[in-house]
Amino acid sequence: MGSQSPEAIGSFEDANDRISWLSGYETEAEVQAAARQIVEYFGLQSFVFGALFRDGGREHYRYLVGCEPEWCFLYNQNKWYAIDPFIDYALKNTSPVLASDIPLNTAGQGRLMAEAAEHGFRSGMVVPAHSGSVIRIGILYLGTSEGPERARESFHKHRNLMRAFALELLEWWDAKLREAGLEALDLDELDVDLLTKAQEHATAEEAARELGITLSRVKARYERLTRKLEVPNKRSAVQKAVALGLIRDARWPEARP
Amino acid sequence: MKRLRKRKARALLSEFSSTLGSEILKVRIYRDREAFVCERELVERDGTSFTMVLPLRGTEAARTLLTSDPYYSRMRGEVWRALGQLDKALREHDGKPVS
Repeated sequence: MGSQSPEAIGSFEDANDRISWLSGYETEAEVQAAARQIVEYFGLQSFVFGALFRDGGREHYRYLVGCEPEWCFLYNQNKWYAIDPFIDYALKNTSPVLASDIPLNTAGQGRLMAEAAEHGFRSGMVVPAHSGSVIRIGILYLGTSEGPERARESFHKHRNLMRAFALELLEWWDAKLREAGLEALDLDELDVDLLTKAQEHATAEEAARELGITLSRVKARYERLTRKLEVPNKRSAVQKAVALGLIRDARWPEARP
Repeated sequence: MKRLRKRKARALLSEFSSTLGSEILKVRIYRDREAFVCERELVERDGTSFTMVLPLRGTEAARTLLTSDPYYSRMRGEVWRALGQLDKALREHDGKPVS
């Protein structure tokens, strides 16, 4: 575990490179280490990247923590995700925004911000990232214990890089969740290819020909897939695979793996 | 999606859960290749879950993290067992320092 000590970032080009490398990292530890360097280049100290997604009608909030963990304990314990004004902003907007530009409408939100200020987020910004995948949205919180002038300066200087950073984090996490989903169901690349073929309305014969495998293997695999996904047929298997984020929704073909 | 490969699942080193009223707190520590990561998931009655993912930089970082959990007093035994398992895994890792 001694390999995650990337050098400090010295230029825009370096920062851009580091951001583009994120998708190649295998573990949360590597991503967190790289993210810390990027956040430092922005002149900030703290970050949290949150991904919100649904599974079977239930909401899940998953956060990569790059700040004092105590802050996340507090946020979690007080269920502040239910009143977090930045989640609401991110659900409806795509532009990065200074935290100070988001109005606080309740006393609870005021308390949230007061505590955030005590835990490395005295000022900062929020960068939404939207996806066509199972993740509804990603939210990158960037913060500093310094005053709003510092955040404003960083925001104006690095706004576009921040946006790219959030999108890369979202894509990384999307891939990670997908990997976990495949592992949990014990599926492999051939299963994904077959699901994709079924999504394209390819017949079993066409799938066999295009994937270079026998027809009997294709049929056996489709049977196995419907069993593993606990659905009655191939069509339902595709729908469930899309819902679980295992394959992309065909309505966004450009985003295919 | 840039990555899709069949790889060995990350190894679960330790897992424990605790019922806190209507909620369930689950803590898992994984080894993922050369890294270690702690997942702390709080599941509410309606199934909503909130998961913190924290890469670990060694036993000391893990101890600081888990003992500062607001629910530490309710899961003290499990925490120390998990720390023991993490420590053992780190020692088996050829004594290499954890970044």
